[in-house]
Amino acid sequence: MANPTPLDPVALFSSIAALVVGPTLAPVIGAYAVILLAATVGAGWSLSRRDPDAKKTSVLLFLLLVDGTALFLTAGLAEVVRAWLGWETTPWLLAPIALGIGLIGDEWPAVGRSVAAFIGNQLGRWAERRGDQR
Amino acid sequence: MNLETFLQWASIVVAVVGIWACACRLNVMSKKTTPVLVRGQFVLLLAGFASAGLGIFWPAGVGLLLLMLSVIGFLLLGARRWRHGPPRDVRTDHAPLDSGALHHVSGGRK
Repeated sequence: MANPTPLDPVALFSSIAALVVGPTLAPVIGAYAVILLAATVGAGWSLSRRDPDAKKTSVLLFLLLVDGTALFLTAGLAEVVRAWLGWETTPWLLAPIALGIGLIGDEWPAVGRSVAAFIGNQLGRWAERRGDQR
Repeated sequence: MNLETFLQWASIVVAVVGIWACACRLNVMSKKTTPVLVRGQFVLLLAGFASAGLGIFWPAGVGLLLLMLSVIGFLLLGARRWRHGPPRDVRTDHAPLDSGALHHVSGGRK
């Protein structure tokens, strides 16, 4: 049975890009185009969600920061998820991860606090379990 | 610079201006004050301009197609407001206008 054609946005944009930049560059250009698009959409939602008073940076700076963060982090995060879950390929993950980075916007400190609280919670539970076993 | 290169650069500049305009509007909205459909309209337009700006990587017409799809999405998301004719805030024959509408007509926040 032939492999099913991938339908994720990265495959779609790579196929379209292949018509212009050739098959060698298309996977890279297509992937980064999807990352930029998804991050921009996420940034748009993030911009429109918060109170105007809570917005600290200018609009263009905000978009540049979010898109830049997505360009640098998305591929690495997708690789971490791939390794963690043991999947073979993860190009379809790029779009949701970039969208997520866009949705977070400039609220990384809050995300950091949540992650720290989660890790602290897990460590506390682990310590409790160890205490019960003794 | 040939015409094709000029048009590609012009498209990028126009796309950046469009992205900036949409982002500025999104920037003055918030979850508390703006319905999700209106916010979605401008996010769609933003995505359309971003697609058009990335048009140098697509074959001719793909960026334009994505932009047109986003504009259609924009219109569809606003269709509910227009179901019974022009909405109140775009009509000139509606009286009396409240202070919010007058504020809007006179050119927005000063």
